[in-house]
Amino acid sequence: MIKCAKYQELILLDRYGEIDEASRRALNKHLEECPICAAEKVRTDDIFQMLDKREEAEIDPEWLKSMRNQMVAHLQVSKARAKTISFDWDKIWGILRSPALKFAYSAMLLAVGFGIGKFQCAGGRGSIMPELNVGQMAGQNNQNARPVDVKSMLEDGKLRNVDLQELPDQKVQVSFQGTQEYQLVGTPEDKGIQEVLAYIMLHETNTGLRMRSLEQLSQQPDSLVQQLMIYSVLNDENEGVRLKAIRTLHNYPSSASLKQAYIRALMTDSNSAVRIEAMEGLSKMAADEQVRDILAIAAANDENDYVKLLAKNALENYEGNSGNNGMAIERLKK
Amino acid sequence: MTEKEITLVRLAQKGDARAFGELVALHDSQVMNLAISLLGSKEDAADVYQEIFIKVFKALDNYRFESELSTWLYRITVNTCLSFRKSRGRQQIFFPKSIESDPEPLYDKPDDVQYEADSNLLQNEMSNIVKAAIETLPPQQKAVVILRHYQDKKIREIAEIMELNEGTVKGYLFRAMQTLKDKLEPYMLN
Repeated sequence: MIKCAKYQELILLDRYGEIDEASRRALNKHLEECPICAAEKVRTDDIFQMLDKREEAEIDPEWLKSMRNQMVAHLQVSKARAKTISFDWDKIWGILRSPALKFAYSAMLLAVGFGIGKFQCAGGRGSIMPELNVGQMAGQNNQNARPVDVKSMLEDGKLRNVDLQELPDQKVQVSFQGTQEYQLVGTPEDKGIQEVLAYIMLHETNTGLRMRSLEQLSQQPDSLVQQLMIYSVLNDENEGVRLKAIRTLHNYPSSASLKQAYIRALMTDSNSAVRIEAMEGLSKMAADEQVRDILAIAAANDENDYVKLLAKNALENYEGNSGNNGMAIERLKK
Repeated sequence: MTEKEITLVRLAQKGDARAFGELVALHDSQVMNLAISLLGSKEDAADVYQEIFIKVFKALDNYRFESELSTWLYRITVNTCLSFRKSRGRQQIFFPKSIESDPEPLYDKPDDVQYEADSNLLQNEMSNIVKAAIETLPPQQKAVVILRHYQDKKIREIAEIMELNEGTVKGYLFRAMQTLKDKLEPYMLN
């Protein structure tokens, strides 16, 4: 019986073409002599016939492509998320802490201290805060870049009693409690004002203040402001702030970081208005395959029917008129 | 492994998700087919699709072109599917009553025209019976049967995919076939 068990295994392996010629000859000789193993061979042939009746599941190539696109988008979003968060902070604080600007920080702090000292020497009381007109100072010195080391003005990294006022001539007044009471006056073009507003956008818990800071900064689009806007689109907890930030981003020329921000917003933002803006931003970019894939995912999977429709139309627009600038989305929105 | 595959692997190893997408496109229909067979449902296979390829993407750094890419992909697929099945607990199998307790032929000898009309239905029914029988196998035996019989992998390749020795693979295959013969014999025409 041991011998037959060995041959019965060979019967199976032979059926799969997995035995050598010598084993096959030995098997065939044994089958001529052994009715039990001969019956087992018939049984094995039958079971193969049965197994071959199993039908393979049909896989729709479009279904597969959709899953593939989702997986690639997931990888791109993960990559963009890691890159964006680390990049923002490096960029913002790298600028603020660059050795070349240390002298300017010192000069600014000295000026703030001088202004306060002058006010106090004049017999003033704390009821009127010292004023530093950053814009005027910048004008007098014939330079428009006068940064403020906001952190050094704060005791524990927190801004307190923040107040933001719009003044005539596009000026803005920001006052807050730090190591002492500060009041800065200038236009959004002034670097000092920009940095305080940026600090508010990044750290302030009051949504209204973040929104107003964002509105002020959006008047002066430069690369630092662009990074702040991207940061807000991807991280701000308030939908209104994210929406305003992403609309501001439309003023910037296409770039890889902008594209990744739009992709991530379209794929992950919980607010459909933000996703629509992200789609509009993408539709204005070159109609590359990545953008088309992302729009295809949105067209197939977005939970909001209107977003789906817009994505579908944007795709059709691409197909019908490559190099378009998102006119279909504009038309649909109207 | 083709030149194109090598290029795509090298780009993906540098974090290029788009190149990885192209690489996946070359293999994902086979991977999906295997996952459907191992899990017994398209829905479950769709659930593990992303998990499989994200694992592949993360592990790609360690791929040194020493084994075939398809073998490596199959290994990750089999392991992911076996873990998935384990985490879900044993799947409930809706098995034909005759296989479980009261074996009797599904049909008599085909001696009338009705057989012709019903042949498609019958084929579908037989396919389901075979699938149900395969589902009753222990996970490792089932994986070996699927890889050998339906994916046409050699025993040597299966051993590499499942990280077993060839003798163990042959043992699993033989025991699985004995079980399938016992389960399916009542349905055989002869």
